[in-house]
Amino acid sequence: MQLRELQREMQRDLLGRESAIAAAIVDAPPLPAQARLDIYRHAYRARLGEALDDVYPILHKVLGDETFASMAELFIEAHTSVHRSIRWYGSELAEFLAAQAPFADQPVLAELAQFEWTLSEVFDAPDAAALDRSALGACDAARWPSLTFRFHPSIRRRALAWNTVPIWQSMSEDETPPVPHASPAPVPWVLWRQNFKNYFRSLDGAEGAALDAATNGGTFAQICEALGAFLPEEAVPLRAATLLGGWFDGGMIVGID
Amino acid sequence: MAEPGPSHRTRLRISMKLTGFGLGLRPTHYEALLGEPHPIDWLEIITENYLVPGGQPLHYLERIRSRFPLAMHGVSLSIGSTDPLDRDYLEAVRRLADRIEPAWISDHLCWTGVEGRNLHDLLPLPYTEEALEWVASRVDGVQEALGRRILLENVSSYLTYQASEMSEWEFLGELVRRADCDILLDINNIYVSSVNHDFDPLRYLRAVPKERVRQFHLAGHSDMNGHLIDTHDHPIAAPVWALFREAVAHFGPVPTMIERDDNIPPLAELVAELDLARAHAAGHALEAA
Repeated sequence: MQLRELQREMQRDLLGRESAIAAAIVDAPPLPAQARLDIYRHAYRARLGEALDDVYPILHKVLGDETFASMAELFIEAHTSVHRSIRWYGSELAEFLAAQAPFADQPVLAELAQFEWTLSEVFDAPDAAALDRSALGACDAARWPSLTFRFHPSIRRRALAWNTVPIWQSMSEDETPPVPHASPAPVPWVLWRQNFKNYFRSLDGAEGAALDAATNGGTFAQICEALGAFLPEEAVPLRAATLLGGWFDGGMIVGID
Repeated sequence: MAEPGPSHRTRLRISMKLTGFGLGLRPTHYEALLGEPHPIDWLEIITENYLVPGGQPLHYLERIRSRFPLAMHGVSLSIGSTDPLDRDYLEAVRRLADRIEPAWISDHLCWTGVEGRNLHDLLPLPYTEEALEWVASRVDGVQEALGRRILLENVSSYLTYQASEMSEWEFLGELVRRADCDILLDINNIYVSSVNHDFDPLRYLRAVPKERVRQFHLAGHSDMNGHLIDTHDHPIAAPVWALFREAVAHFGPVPTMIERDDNIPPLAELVAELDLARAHAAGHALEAA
């Protein structure tokens, strides 16, 4: 067997597919050929299972060891890795859970997976030095309406339909989680990193709209416009300034243009 | 070094030198390593753990490298794969190396997947002339792309192929000669494979070209009642210490590090095991019971 064919057949075997590799393996003590192959088959699944466990520790707790293991097995069967670093394995888990019985019957599971994956993205997103709110004060007031803001690369906006975060928090602290329930309307959340620590908080509709306008490159005037849909006109400038101050203090803003 | 002219091979000779006894850098030890000084001469990082855009891993790595010399050790080079070389990966490794200036870059003599997939395992090669020629040409491409020589490590293996035409040690020796690269000799892996494939580990050890060995690995394994698995979750076993003493006697002092990847104890425990490695190397260790 030539090298290319050998590698293809071996890979097929490890992935649990029909393969001609067994006949190409030396069958000698202390182990028969099949047992030798089984070591690699087992190691492949175990290693990807550990990778899922690393990124989804709370989903693991919620499902319990046995269900998490069988879920991981199904996912691994359906998803081979194309990543050089195993850290990126499992990005599709939320989509998988949303479509796969019996997990799809509990949509909070897919949302929890999405939340944990987002935390992992925030954790090692690119670095950038945050600006202090005094940077805004240093800008000429006449320029304010046209100012735009650059945000920290770790910032992520999510809309969560379930009480996913309270469940995540209580499970993280080994407390009894609340019963899953859907919110009357999806709640906007922001996740980001400040001083190498992950943070997240929920937003009201006004801040969600303002933050979306700002992170999409909107000017201060456009941020105010977004707030205008939620607030009386005279309340807008103060709220806009307050929100910006909070984003600066949270380390979310890294540049003013 | 930016001077034009000399090839990567010449440039290597002026790369930094590591000596003594090191440990694998693991996140659980970050704070301890940045605290009180420890008798650890250098640290080896898992390259892929730092091929991330930013955040804590790189932040700690920057701080730690101001205290310890570093070596980079990869798991995804897949030098034996029949896929094309992954240029994006090599570029990312090179960028990280430019940033942290490791003494050297190592990876494994194995393959990890084909057809664009990564099985995240160190899979053995058949020891054939075809594979030898192929891997040697790949090493050349990698050394060009990284601008330096690399070290290749012998892996633990659980199977061998009918197609093999030579022993693993013959393959390794011939490869480093043809490809002009160096060796990271894993003492535990020699031992694990010697049990799994029923060969004499000393025969392997003595066949390795001396002048190519730049680093030793030590690690613990699991005894599965007849065969061994390279688990890196135990202290180093007595037969591996014995083989290490033979290696030191044969190769002289070679920078040595202990790998621990699972069931990771507090740093002090690994520092104590490192002291034991120093004692074995100096010939002072008591024969293990």
